[in-house]
Amino acid sequence: MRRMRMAVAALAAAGTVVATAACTGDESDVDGEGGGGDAFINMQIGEVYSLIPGSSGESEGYRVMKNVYDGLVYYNIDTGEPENLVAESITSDDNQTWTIKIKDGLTFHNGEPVDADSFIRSWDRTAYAPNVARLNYFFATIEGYADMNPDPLPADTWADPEVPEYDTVETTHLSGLTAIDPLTLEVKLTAPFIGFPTMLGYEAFYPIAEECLNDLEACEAKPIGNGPFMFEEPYNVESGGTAVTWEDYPGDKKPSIDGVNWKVYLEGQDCWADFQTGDIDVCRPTAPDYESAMADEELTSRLVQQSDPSITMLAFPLYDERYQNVDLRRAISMAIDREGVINVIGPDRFDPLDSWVPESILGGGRGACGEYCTYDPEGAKALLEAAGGWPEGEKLQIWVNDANDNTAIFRAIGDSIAESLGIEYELVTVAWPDYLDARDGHAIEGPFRDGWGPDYNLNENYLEPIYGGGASVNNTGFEDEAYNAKIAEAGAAASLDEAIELYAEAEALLAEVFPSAPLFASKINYFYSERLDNVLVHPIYNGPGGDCELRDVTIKS
Amino acid sequence: MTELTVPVSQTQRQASLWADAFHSLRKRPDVIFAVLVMLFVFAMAAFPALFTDQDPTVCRGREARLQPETWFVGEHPLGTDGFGCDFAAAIVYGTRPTIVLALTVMVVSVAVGLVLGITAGYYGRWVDALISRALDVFIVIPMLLGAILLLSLFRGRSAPDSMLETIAPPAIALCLFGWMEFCRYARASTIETKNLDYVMAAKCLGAKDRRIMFRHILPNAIAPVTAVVPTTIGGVIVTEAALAVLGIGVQPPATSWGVLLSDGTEWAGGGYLYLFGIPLVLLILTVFAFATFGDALRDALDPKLR
Repeated sequence: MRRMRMAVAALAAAGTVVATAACTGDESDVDGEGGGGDAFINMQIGEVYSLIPGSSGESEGYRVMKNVYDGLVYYNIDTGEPENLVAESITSDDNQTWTIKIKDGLTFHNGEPVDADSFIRSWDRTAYAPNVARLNYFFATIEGYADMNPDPLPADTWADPEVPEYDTVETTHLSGLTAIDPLTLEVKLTAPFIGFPTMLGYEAFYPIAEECLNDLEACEAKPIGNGPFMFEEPYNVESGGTAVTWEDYPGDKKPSIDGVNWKVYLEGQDCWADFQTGDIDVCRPTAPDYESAMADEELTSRLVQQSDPSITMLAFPLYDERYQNVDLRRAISMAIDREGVINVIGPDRFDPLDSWVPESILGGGRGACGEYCTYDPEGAKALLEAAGGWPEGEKLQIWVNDANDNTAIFRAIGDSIAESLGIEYELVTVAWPDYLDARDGHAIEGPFRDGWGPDYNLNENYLEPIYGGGASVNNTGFEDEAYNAKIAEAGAAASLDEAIELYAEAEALLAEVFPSAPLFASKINYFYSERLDNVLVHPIYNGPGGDCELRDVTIKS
Repeated sequence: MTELTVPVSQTQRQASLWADAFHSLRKRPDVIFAVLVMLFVFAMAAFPALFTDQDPTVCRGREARLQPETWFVGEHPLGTDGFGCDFAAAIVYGTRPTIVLALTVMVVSVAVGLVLGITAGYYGRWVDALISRALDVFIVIPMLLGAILLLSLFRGRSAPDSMLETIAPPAIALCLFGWMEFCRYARASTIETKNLDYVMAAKCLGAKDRRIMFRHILPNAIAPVTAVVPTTIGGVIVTEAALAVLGIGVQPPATSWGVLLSDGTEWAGGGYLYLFGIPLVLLILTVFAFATFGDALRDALDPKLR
């Protein structure tokens, strides 16, 4: 899916709302949170791109939305299997026409019913090209998408070079979506897709209330969801905000906490100092802090350590003429001492990655990158020679968003490339929303950081959303006929096992073009505060830098 | 100086003041030590290659955080830092920005301070009032606070390419809040000097204002200012370190002692005390050397204390 997740984020700090934490009974000490009480949990967050379903497609907006909205399905924390949440049932006879029955009696925070129309409303909005929603691409498999997504006007006529503009598009409704009755939604796909239900737990498929659509700006600040948490005060992108538990939440699993405060961390700051003073409840330390934290026995008793299917890559701008040669791209990948970089940023943070799909995902861990993901300075130099060398006096630009210790990680990577290839490099650090815009708009002028977190447990999720959609749409500008054909073949496969094998073959084709260099598979190292209990980190819903299931977490009395 | 009634030859008297100062300075062991430290630091800044054969930009991740096992031998005599760069090289090559910054700030501050101070002292009246009030305004803003406010404007600029770009923002900020002391000293001694008979004589002979100020008054005014210079350099080095720790001074990837200290504090808690300790010791030693030398110089130049 188009969710580019900050596999390694945890952003940094400006907020002032903290601190209902350990103060019992003192009403004067409540920092304006509407819920009263003291069972509020304090979480770190980065800069949110958007809080409207379909518009964010990045980790930080999703971190909020997954708690404020309920999707049709919710992924099982152990297996990753979708389990019905808002949906009563999702069925299909031919994997092409899907019938979704919605549970009766569900409403949004404002009392509007959650029905088939609320989903159609949301999906139509995201699929409508002139809305420029980041998750637009998700709906390409649904009938009628093409009518709503003509080719954009020529790029030089756009007011903002990073925001495409379109002629008037008459079609505003996806013809493949029909409300058979208020609680039954029929979805017609353009081709059979067995994985369709597994996609439905994602942000792109959340419903939107009519009130929200009527005033998107207000809804951006104060989302109207149908999930267990709701905003009483507007959320501020730079200082964060507080969501309280919805008293009338109709779902089975009402959170035990009273609400959550999100505190924003910007520009490479991190939550660790605030975690140590008790102002943040879940936090991942950076490399220097991790060493001292691990030496503290009391602290390690409150550590969640597990593998994380999120990956980090160094992607190449294939639209840039300097990066056309595959040997150059391979040389850069080969020049990276992945083990060495991991040594710099903390040995328990990552595992070196030599495939585009990590091992913990179905069909992953095939080592498709092979020798090109193995550190070999001599081989890298030889490949660079073969590619015609590096232009004299030019610096290799490595683009990275400035969250948390990304700069340190990519400095270590740059150091390694520079040392192996004997070239100079510079880091270009950009704030997260600007980074997303530059990446979407192909304005990045060098290899760049690309992270991916899974939306469901299938290798397809690491292949099609990242490298599909055509050269003008995906981040790297990758397009390859053989690859696209293989992906299409796999999508139409009769069984899941067969599909997985075909997707793995597509991954091997990816290695031929080398649009990105796989770097690391993540490991989760989150510490949580003394007052928390039942801290669960969800492999799919987990946001980077410190997160937990707010629906499950409890506060000790 | 007030006892002077006969205009003695100016150059001869000058020479004897400085010569006397030199004689009294070289007898003091603490001054000898301070001078040696200063020479060492200046040598590192000027000729880093003499002190290390490692390239500070070569960093091997695998070698990150090697503790210095033995002193001054082996490939990494002082170990390696968090990124696997040779730490000795980082310190040696970090000296130049530190020292160049300190010297730049000092030279600019002295120049600005002297010119303003002498102008104010010599002309008096509204010129003096104007400059003195400006001085009052700047003097109530502490140097560090002023620098922090000003440098916040430079945040988010792209990585500097040259030494000049690296040190320009902190240098501008520190100069702006560093000239006042020199100005006050220069103004005070100008007022004292301008009524002396030899100045009067020069005036009567028709010398122009500028000539009187810079040929006759300046040599007298400069002595008390000189004594403040080394102390100021020490102060600038400390302030630079403070700014770097706050993340607004010299910006990585450029290094300075402040940047090293700042990085070192992160690691000190994890058992890598040397990453913090070595730059700290060097910083303290250098500041101590400049302060000692400045103190001794003031004693030596002040005839009343002799």
